Amino acid sequence: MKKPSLLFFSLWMAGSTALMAERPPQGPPPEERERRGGGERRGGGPRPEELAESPMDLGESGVAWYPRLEDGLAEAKRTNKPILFMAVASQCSGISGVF
Amino acid sequence: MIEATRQFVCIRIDSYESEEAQKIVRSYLNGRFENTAFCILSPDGKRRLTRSGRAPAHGLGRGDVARSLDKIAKKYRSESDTKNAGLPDFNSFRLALNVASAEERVLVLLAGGNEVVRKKLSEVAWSPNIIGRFEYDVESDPTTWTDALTKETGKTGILLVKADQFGQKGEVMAQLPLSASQQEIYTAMRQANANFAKTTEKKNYAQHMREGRRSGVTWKMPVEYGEDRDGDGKIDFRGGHGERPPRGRR
Repeated sequence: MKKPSLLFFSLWMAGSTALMAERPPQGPPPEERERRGGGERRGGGPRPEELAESPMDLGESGVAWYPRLEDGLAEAKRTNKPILFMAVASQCSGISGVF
Repeated sequence: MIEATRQFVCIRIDSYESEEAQKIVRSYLNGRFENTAFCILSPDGKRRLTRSGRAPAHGLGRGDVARSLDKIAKKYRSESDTKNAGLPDFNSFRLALNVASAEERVLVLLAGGNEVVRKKLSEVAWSPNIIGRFEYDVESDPTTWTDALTKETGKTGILLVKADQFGQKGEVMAQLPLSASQQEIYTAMRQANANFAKTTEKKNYAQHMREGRRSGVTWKMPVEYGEDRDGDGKIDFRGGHGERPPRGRR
């Protein structure tokens, strides 16, 4: 079973649909930080190499996103709903098909 | 958690899809630019209701995220009727296909059609059992997608697409005419979603990255990858080769 901190990052990085988690980011363990050449933790969580699968089942209902700001703003104006805004890169190190 | 997000309009842009996207990110990150950003905004998009950061915990704090979202949403009397909600759409089919692959969802491509068809599809998109399970893209020019897809049976219609592993090609799972009824669209989408879930292997991210490197997969966005963590207006971290980003101000 994954450790809770790793599960959080799986939720976060594995697709921003599964972005909500109850534990804050904690970063890699000290020995991993050492291996990387320093104790300084990078912001934003672990690299995809450290992650496994998304905890969400395929086909399951997730966050319903508007991919364009203007469409989302129009909908927020229509409904008076607050906005949950994210910006993500839909690639990692030049490899597509992953956030 | 997902239910909590239904009280919000959820907007997710790609950080590198345009210079405009970068300006948007900078405006919400106090001038910084980072490859991921998160914040909650007022309905007019002008006021930040939380701190901004790279992850929900940065903006919402270290407690129960769903509860934090509920607390924010309760301050607004909002319209919950999704009947007139707009259909989500990407700025390009190329990006739509890649995001569908990354998100591990079926992509619904509306090829051709008019506002009537768009509204018809939108009502299905926001209905229970469909909401949050698909990505959507609207294209009027078939040359934007015909080269990337196989098994299509015409250049107009509602196409249900399974993106490949790296989101650069796709296969049409089903194609409906623009005249299809809402019930027909709903049934086809439910079926496609079930088939997708049954026949698709969930991505393992570490394995995906290894296979991508081995296969020489490349992906270029309109804006080159980089971050400006100190917010001085200049990209100061381009990643790769073991580079470490400078720590920026929050």
